[in-house]
Amino acid sequence: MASLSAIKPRWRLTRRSRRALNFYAFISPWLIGFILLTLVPVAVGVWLSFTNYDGLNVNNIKWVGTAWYQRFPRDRQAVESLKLVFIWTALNTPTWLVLSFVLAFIMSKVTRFRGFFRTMWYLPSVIPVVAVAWTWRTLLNDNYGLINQAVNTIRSGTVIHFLTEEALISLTMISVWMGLGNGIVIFLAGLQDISPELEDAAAIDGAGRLSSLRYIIIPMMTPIIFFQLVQSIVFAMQMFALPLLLSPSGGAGLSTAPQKDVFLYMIYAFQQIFQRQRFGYGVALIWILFAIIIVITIVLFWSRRYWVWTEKK
Amino acid sequence: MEKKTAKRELSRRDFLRLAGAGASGTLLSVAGLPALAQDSPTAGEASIVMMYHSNEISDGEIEQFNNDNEGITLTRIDTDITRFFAMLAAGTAPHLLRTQAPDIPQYFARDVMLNLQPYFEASGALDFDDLAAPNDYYKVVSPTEIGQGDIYGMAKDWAPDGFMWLHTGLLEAAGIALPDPATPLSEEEVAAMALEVTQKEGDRTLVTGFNTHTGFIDRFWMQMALMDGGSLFSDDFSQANVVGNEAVVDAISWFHDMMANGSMNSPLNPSVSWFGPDYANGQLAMVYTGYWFSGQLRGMATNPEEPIIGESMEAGHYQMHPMFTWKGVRKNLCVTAAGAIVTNPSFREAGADDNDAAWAAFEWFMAGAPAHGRAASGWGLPALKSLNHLIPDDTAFDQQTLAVVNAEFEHSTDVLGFNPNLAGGEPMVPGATYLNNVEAALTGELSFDDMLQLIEDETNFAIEEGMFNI
Repeated sequence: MASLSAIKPRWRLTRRSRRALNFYAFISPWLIGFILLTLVPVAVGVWLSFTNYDGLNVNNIKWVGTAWYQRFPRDRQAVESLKLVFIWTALNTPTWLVLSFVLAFIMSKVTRFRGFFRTMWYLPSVIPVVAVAWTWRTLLNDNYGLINQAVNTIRSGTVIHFLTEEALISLTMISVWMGLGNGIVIFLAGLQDISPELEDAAAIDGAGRLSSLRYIIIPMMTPIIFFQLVQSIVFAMQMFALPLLLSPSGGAGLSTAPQKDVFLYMIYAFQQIFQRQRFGYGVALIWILFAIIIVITIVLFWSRRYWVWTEKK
Repeated sequence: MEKKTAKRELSRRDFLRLAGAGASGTLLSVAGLPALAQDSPTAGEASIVMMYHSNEISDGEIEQFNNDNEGITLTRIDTDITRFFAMLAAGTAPHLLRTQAPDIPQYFARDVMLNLQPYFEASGALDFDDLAAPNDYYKVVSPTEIGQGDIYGMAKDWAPDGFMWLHTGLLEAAGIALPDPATPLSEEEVAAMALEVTQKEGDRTLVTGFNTHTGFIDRFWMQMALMDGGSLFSDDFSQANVVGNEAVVDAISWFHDMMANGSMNSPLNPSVSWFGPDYANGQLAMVYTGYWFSGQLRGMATNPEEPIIGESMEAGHYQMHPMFTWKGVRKNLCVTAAGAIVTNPSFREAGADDNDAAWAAFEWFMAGAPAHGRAASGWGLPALKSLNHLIPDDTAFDQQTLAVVNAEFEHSTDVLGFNPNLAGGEPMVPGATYLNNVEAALTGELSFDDMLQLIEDETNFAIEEGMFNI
């Protein structure tokens, strides 16, 4: 009778392989979810952007190569809406960053009622965007809005066209208002992490509050500012729901377009897919935006060495 | 139309199915869930899925159907066109699908619908002679020939979609003599009244003259072009003709001019919400929309939180008039004909052989208790003429609207030719291009002629694409 050792398989997992196998076995629920719910849809998305898929032609899907990507620069409305995204991002991101930082700084110096103020600033962030949009639409309406009613009481017949001529400003205002809470909370956490001893030492050396802010607090906050900047740019470039909800139809049934000043790129891509059943082109537009965001993010990461403080320095 | 045969090789569709099945299977096994067998029908039972709005068929009605029809289980899922596309790609299409008239040529061209002609012929509940005119949208010879031929579906209800709703209180306040509801206004009279009743205070607009559902704007252009003897599309639907096509340009201009002079809501003078509350609250004098709006107003008037609307209803301020004549011609077509089709079994699970059960649900929805309920609700006119006696006529408002409807029937017999190469949304490509550019045209950044060119170019590009995709 053969000994047991003789029938044992020749191959044996090394300790390292066993550990790797265990590791992947333990994370497999997440891994499978990631593959099925992230990687596969992304791959299908890439594939769709090279096809003529329109939702109904499942028996006649054709490979169209890079036709949709080549169409983009010739599509006036797509290019215009992308330009608008840059304008909107340039307006929204600095406004949000500066205001969040300033308010967080003030709140870091306030000891009484800090929790109350923090809650009040954070409150708009937890209101659903649909409710926010409809509330502001009602407040800002030219003819019946509360704010224009007040303006009218001061000077009869005067209207501030918040939702039409000033749509971009209004969108920025509402978006910043909604996002301030998040910005403040993160900045506040960063500010509270700065040792008060540093400020005390600077004060002893004769630094005033402004000098302390400029030479100690802001430099030490640059990692947080960097994080917030990247997040804010990615968020702004993908802005979609709010301008659509502020549009004349309130986003209902795609039966109208947003005001031209807030006709952002993602809305155009959305229209291509859901209004025109042009899945291939709509998805291609989204991949183009994705590529632009990646490039901007890479540039930001590269620029970090010049302005973001790290302890290694 | 010749049926398309299934491909034998592994098509992309098969790939999608396999990917979907694999993904679902893995997910379920990972989650440790039991297989979905418990939800599957047992032998001899049919499980019918209906994709429809929740406010158009109630859970109670569905439960009643299931109790009355042993062996059939009907379930409703919300209407969601994206979900429908996904189900179609996965070969799990719902049996019954909510549709509108512009969908039908497109669906026919892609073989999405089951031919219901044999079922109608054998039906004891649905009779061809009893079908109201807009059901013709569901009769198809070819993608370019709608209105006759075999029947593929039915309207759930309908209405001429172009009634003029006049707010008599606002017109009287503006010193405008109230027109006779028995006589249609002309297009010039409507535009003049809209401008006259519009009230401004500096830059503020206190009362707007006119508004409509802009999602249907291209359908209205098509109707007006038809009344003028023209068409938005070439006979074979391979071309959109806008520039230089007087019948279409005049229709576009009519709405556009009202937006430009401020008598119609526009991107420069948007409504607070939509025309319903604006009209009901006395901020909008005229609405161009269908009979369904009577149901909307009835609902608003009984809302205790809106006492002003109830009072206006009592005072008779909401009055329905026939559609305006366009260049002297009187028509008022149904441009929606929302209804249902039964999907082609080749798009259902393994070509499911449950057409009879799907038909039973369809027949019940179109001729049974739900159809009676819809007829009596006042949200639309019955798709079966035999149910017309159920249209509400209790109140003065009901009687006024019913009288106008009855007189309008004879002007609602045509069907519009929707393009099989274009998606049938609200709006379609021509309307969407207009709405995307109208603000620039109103502010002068884009000339009116350039906008027309854009509409034509975009639509033709979409048609070319649609022809390639079919």
